[in-house]
Amino acid sequence: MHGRLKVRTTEEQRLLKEKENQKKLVAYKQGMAFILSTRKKDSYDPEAFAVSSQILHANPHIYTLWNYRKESILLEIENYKDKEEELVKFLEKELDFTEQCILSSPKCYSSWYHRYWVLKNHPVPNWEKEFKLCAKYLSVDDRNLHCWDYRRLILNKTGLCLEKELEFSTERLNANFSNYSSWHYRSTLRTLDVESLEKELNLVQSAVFTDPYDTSAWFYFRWILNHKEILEEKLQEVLESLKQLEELEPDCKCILMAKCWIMDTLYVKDEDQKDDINEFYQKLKQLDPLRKTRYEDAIKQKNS
Amino acid sequence: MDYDLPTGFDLIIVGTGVVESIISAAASRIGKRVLQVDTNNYYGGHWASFNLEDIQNLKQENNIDLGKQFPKNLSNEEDFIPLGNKLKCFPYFETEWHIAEEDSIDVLKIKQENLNGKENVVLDEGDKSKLDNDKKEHDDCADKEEDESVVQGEIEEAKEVEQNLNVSTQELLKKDYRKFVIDLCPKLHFARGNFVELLISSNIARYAEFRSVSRVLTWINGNIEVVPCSRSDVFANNKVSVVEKRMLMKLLTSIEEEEKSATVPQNTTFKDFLKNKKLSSNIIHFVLYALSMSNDETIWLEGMKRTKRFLGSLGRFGKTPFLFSMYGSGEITQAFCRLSAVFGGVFALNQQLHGIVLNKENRFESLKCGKQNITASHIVMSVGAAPVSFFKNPTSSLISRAVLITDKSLMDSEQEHMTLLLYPAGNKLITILELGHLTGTCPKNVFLIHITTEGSSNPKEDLEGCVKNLFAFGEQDSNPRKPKVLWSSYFSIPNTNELDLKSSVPSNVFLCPGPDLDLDYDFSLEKAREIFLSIYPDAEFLPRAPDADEIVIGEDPETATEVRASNSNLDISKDTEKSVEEERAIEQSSETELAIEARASCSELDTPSETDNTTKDALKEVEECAEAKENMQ
Amino acid sequence: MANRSGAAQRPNGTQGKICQFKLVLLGESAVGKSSLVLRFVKGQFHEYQESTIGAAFLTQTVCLDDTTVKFEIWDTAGQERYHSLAPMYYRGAQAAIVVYDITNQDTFGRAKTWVKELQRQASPTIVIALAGNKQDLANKRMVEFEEAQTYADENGLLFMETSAKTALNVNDIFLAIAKKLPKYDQNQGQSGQGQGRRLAEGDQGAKTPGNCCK
Repeated sequence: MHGRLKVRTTEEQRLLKEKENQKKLVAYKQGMAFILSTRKKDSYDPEAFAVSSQILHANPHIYTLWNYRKESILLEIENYKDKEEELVKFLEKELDFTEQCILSSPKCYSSWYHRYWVLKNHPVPNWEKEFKLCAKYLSVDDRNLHCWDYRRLILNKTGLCLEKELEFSTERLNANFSNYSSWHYRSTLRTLDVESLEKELNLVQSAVFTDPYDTSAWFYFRWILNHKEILEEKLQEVLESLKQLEELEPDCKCILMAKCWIMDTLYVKDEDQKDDINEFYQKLKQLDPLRKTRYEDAIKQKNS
Repeated sequence: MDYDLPTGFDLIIVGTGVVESIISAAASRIGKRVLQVDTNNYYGGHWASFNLEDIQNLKQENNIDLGKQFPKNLSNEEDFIPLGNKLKCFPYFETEWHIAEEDSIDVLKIKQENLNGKENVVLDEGDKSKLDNDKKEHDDCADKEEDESVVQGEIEEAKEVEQNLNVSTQELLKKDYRKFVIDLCPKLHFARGNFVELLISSNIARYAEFRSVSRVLTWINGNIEVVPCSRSDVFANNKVSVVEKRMLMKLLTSIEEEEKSATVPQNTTFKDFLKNKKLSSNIIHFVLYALSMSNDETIWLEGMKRTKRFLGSLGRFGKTPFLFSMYGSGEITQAFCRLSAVFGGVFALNQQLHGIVLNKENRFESLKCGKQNITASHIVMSVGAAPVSFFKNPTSSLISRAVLITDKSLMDSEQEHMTLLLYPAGNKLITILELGHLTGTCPKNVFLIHITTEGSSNPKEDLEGCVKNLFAFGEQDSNPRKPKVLWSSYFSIPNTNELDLKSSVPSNVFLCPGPDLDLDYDFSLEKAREIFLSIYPDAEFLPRAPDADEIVIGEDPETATEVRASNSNLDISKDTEKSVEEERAIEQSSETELAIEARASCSELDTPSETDNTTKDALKEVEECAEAKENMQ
Repeated sequence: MANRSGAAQRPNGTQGKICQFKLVLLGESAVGKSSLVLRFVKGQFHEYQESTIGAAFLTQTVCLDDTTVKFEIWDTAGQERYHSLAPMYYRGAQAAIVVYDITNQDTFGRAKTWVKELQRQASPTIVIALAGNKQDLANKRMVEFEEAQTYADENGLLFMETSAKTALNVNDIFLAIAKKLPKYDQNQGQSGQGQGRRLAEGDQGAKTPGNCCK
């Protein structure tokens, strides 16, 4: 029966897949054996280099091969000593290659590191492109710590452009503020003065009002509150707005905690407020019985 | 070459609207012999899309030519019931230009001067490479074809520059008429709605490409504002206070419990329900008109249901809950038709349909199509093709539509390619779609606007207030922020979803409703499923169609032997042994052989994997935004 | 599968570009459109091929130097028979093969009409190839090679006589098209199509919690 429509069964598909995997295994073993045989020779072998590309593209986690590539690249750098143009071409190709590996496995240490290493050995590295690369990959997955680390590595190389990094950080937070990495990154950018503290407080208030149960924003909130430079009146204002928030969300312990932090700072010696704070801790004990003793401890300290 | 149609089918479908096409695909998919015919020479009926030239011709064809499509004066040997009724027509249709036909010389001169000021370097020095670079930076990947075609002649340059100037004449727009895809009935898809699920589960999605709607806007207190749809939007929005942020988020996250615990009378309107929650007027507006797309009279339970539908579709594709099919909604009917064809459905457009023959039991027997008499056990037809006698009362309510071409976006932003604007107008809600060139429905530098609302008088009167508030015509309007209308069209489409399509109809004849007012296709899909299951009660409705690599054509020696092998208990350990052998062989063979072999076999490894498409898709979107941003600057 | 074009053999060792293109087939019924694709993709030929093959489209990859070209090949699925080919068919197509039967003069005439239709409906940069199929039946030839060649030259088309039965020029015509197509790298986020989103099974979209309210 020719030309008859027949759909492959899942069993047939599984077998085809298995066969493919077997083929890949053989290919991988052959490839590795070949590369290792040339590695001893201490010279750049374009054939072996090409094979390593093929294997790494399929699996970038094989750090042996990345090391092999570094050796080969160093040899080539030596080779191209007086021919910068050709060297740049060669290294750019290597950069393109790492990006392909990053695309297929964005969470592979080796490919990110290799990229950085290539740039360090690059006579005219284009760091601007690297910032864009980070922004791109963080938009896809904002918890990719490899990428956050990479951005910091690049910053170390280029020096910080505060305005640009702040904008970048705001962009990341606007995309998703439930992200410790983004808040943390923001906290590493600068030391805050009175004015910027106020701005940051407004920003983080937006976050905790949007989602008072999100701990990452409170984390940053607390970090801001630890700054002694905040004006007392601003603290009062924040306290008032937290009271409003509490009315809307009476059962959220984070809000109570935050109130305690502020009141601790504001009323170190005010006996009247002490009772209030005690009361908050009592309420916290109820809301969060798991950390009961911790709150009791806080009460003790207050009253001692 | 003209062929006669085959004459015996299981199912005849008259019309190529959405409902008809879904039924066609479903029936072909389960192996029924299907004939789908249309009197028009295009797909889609009232769901069709046209380019800028064809839609203007439609105006002339319309209303008069029922007789041509459904000629009745056939030799009267046989007793047949003539097809066609006035629901096939557009009760109102007009198009109008609002710009000069071509530039007068003076205008051109001024333009040229502006131009020189603007892109001095490029023109004076004739530095083409600079222009090319600029072009590359600004050009969008979607317009690759343009990129290629620019053979860098001077004419091209001039044209390019002229386009950049954003001043349009009829002549310029007409040159690009084919780049317009103007839907009679544009629809969006809820990302987690039934329709999208069906597109995916039936594998029909592979025929089409989609864009996510990039933002939702609303008309509030005489201004256009961004509607915060998602949690991130709420956080980033600087027009609402922090307390409002909490109110909105609280409502959105607790809507499920609210519905269960609320103790309000059943007939409470959604508006009153929200008011009782002590929300600010901004928040009520956002939820009532935008998120739930309700009007002042919507009952609260319905409003809740609609809000949930909106929220439930967030976070799947893009920033809003909506998808739009690239190149217009007309693609959707074509995609179903294609699936039908791939599974053997026969398609014939531009047919003369005279009538149908019923037998003594008042059952459909055959269709008179051209000179042929075609039989089938069932017939499905679009409501406009049905004989007048099939309706008790063939009048319907109306959908009022306007289509505009404008010179800029309603609200400039980084990603202005696809906007939904909800405009409450008394007891009606007007929905406005703004499509940029990335949707594949219009050229660069102009926008296509679709306005839809329930019809009460003629569409121009229905939409006048809204259009005047949002757009400018000619030089009269003093507000420079308003987009200028270059071309407009107003028309009405019969809204047939309330019509009785069953009681006067023979038992093996089924009528399909036309477009409705909903934003999505869910109503049409349900109707199609209902009709399909009435005809084939035990059949599966659009099971997944196989992918190419699952289809075996003729023999498939490779898998056949494999299956046999595995069935006879030869397990894989043999293969593993083989690979160990091969490894040994590797050790022994010479180095050059090794190199060649390694290269050859490793190339198997790096066939592009399909798995990382999600990342690629996501990246694509990121790049789009970046580009749109650059274009803005 | 004898006619697989083989996987990439890249001289420079780096991963090459991957380009994807939509290619549509056009031509009168029964000139061998499906047979050409089956020969190219599966290396098969069936004398009595049913007109439908039930696939949305078939894909096949060819390699050029450092570029991998992936064709997404659309068959008319019979919709051409009664002049009912949907505009969707041409949408985003970057290449087309217009097929006629060298033993049937009428099919050559129709091929010319299809070329015109492509020039009207499809992208202005589409690469069009003209294939005179059934070259194995050259003894019954009704369309002269020179006539077709002249027509192709005048209209800027690639031209070959092919035989799905003997595989003559089948791979070659696809390869010739691949060579003529502009290459954009899919890895760099630019694929051949209109840049829209494809929906697929199991695609639940972004996992970022920032996008949902719940």
